[in-house]
Amino acid sequence: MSYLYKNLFIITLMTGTLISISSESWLGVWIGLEMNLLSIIPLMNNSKDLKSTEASLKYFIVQAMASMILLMGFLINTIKINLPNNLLLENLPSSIITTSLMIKTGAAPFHFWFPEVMEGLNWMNALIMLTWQKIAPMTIIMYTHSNEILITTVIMFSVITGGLMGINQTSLRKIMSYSSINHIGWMMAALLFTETLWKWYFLIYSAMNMAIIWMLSKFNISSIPQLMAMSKNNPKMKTFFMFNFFSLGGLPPFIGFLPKWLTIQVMVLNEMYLTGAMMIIITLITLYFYMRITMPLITLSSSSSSLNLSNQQFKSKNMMSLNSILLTGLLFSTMAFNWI
Amino acid sequence: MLILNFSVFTCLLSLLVFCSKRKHLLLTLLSLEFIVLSLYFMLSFSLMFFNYEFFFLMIFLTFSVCEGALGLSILVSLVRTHGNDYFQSFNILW
Repeated sequence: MSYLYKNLFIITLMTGTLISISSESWLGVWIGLEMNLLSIIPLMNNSKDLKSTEASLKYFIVQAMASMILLMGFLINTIKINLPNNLLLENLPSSIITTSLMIKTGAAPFHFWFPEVMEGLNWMNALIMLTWQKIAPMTIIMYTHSNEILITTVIMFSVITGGLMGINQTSLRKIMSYSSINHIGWMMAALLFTETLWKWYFLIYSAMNMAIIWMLSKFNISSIPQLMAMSKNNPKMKTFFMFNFFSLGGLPPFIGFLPKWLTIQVMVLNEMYLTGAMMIIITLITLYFYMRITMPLITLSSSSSSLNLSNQQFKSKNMMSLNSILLTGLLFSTMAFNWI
Repeated sequence: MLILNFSVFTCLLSLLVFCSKRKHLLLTLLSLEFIVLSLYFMLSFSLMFFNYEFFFLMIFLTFSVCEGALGLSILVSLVRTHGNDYFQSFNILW
């Protein structure tokens, strides 16, 4: 009952995002992003917790700066359009706007706040941070037709840092955030071409994240050694967990392959061969650290674990059905395209 | 033209002040207000192109005051958990 205010802030969070992606003017975009920021901070902050307070501080500082830069960008744009004989550069305002939105998303040269903020959140807030908070900035990047060189640079940076920085991590929140940075690179490549493609990529990515984070928050796991305790007497969960990470990495029989496949197709059609090839190759590193999480679960025996959850046979019909739909989704969508 | 150059210069300067390294969190929040101030100037200039629709300044001030108050409440929360507001001590998330 004492957490009733969180319902209100979740509603205003969603309202802020919807305002900013459906507004007609730039000032409405700014208002929506501000509402989003003002309502996510009370959701993630817990005044008795050291970590979440610090995470909300870091998130607040970065997001406030990014929205101020965004407002500055389109005010410069307004003045530049209406004032004759100005000396400003041609695409300066759109570059400023795109850069500030990339700070808000956490794309790669501006990603430094993102793993730190993720480290201090609980899993539900981390899920909001990984999925819902990406909608508004990426949609507005899609609406702002910025120059391709900037976006391609950000794609390459995102994919490379998402792959390389995730290698030596032990915290699962850090791993999820670096994998999210990697996926942001792919989503940027998708939104460069088609809106529908970005929408599907985002939807499937959110569903995969939801399946993984559901398990992690159910068993309250935050680092790799704790995974052993979960998987000790839970072979079904273990298998689903492994398959979900394969799906997140984009291995073909699972649904995570579908948006990457479509993105590669569109990039080849638009003759971005080099960028596409680099993205595919570097995402293999991401797949490598996913395998490093999941391989010990099935190869090593976990008898040395001190935690014992053996009596706690976990059963959840909802989780099972979500996982089954997600993992076999590519087969079903292929069948739908071929026979219907 | 001079006004445009001045306002862009003020914005960039305030961003520089905001991003520079401080000892206290309160100074960063104060320089956030400096950004708000320079954007207020720029916004009041650019609203002249929209039929002098200065009522939006009210909305801008409302949101920026909300943001400042939120920053101060985070400051209070940080002082309650960490004991001070030095940036030096905000390093547990690495």
